[in-house]
Amino acid sequence: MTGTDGKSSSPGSRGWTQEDRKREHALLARLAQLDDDDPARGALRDEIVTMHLPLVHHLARRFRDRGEPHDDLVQVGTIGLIKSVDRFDTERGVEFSTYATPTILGEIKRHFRDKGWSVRVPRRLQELRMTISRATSELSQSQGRSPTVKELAAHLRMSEEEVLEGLESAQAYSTLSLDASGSDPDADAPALVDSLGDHDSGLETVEYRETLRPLLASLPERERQIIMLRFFHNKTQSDIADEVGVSQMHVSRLLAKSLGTLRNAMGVDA
Amino acid sequence: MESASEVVLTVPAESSFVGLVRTATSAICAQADFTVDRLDDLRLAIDEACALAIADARPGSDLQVAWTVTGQQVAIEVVSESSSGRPVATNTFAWTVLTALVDEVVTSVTQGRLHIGMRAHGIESVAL
Repeated sequence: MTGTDGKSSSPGSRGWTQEDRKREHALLARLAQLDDDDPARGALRDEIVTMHLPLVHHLARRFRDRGEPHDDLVQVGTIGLIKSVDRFDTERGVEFSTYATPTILGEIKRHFRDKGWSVRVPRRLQELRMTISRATSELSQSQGRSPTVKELAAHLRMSEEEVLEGLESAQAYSTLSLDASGSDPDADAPALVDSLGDHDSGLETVEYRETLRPLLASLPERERQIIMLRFFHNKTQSDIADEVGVSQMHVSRLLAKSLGTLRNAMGVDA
Repeated sequence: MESASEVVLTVPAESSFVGLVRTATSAICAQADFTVDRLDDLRLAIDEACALAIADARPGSDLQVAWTVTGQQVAIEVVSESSSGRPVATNTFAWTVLTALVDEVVTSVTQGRLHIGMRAHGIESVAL
């Protein structure tokens, strides 16, 4: 990575008018005056984050050939953006986007480095996984349901064994934990756990209140949302993928990971 | 009546062998033309069922997993030597998870052996 992005017209704000820039400065200045626990912080911070999402997209695109879904990179990049908003010091006299860029890049790289491919999945498998993930989305679109292994194999002109290998490798890689719980930018809807009434069918029969609820609450927002959608709202993995905006493969991976976490926490060892 | 084919696998009742059971499940369900959605669901289900069985298994005992494929339907039976002598509690989150992942799930204990039986179809019922 060359890091030559700090030029005066930073890519994320290229299309900005003078007005936009003024608004950004005003928002940052206002944020700087608020106490850390001021309830107004959240909305202000969200607004600044939203303004700069194009920058995150731009930076994530630089890594497009590395075998990770763009959406996932945007998500980790957004964590970098949020950190930048929290740490930005208006006194420093640099543009916010200039300040945020290295932090966003840092989060994306970290995703690759220690969370992403920590199991060192060979490059061939990473590519296979991506190819299959893309084909799964395409075929799901055209067929209105997720494809079978046979259909994937025919579509990609591969053997079924190869497709299976790709699907397996998807699980082999321990996915990143978006443990910036509560600061997840697409968590603006009220947490699903909380929006579920205690009379919600199915929940009264499980050991919900004492054990599960606090455990679910400790999961990152997106993982919790996926758990709720799959197990309490009976949505399919593909539906959830559409709704949450990640690939079906990623939904599957997050489900496997969250269930493992919950199992451990609830004392079912294995 | 379509002819059924059966696969049986016996492994030590230890979590390190669950991966093997999961991989076998993928391969078998691929044969039965499962969609990726259903296949991934069944992989989660087998993880959960094995975890439950292993948690209750007598130390040093085996886990027996049998898959029966009939057309596009797969039935899986997970059997272990139960130390509690009780079937899986159905008021648990684990059970809720299982019921959401497969078409049917049953549990019983006979002659000291815990059974968890699951049935799943390869294609979502909303398909085309």
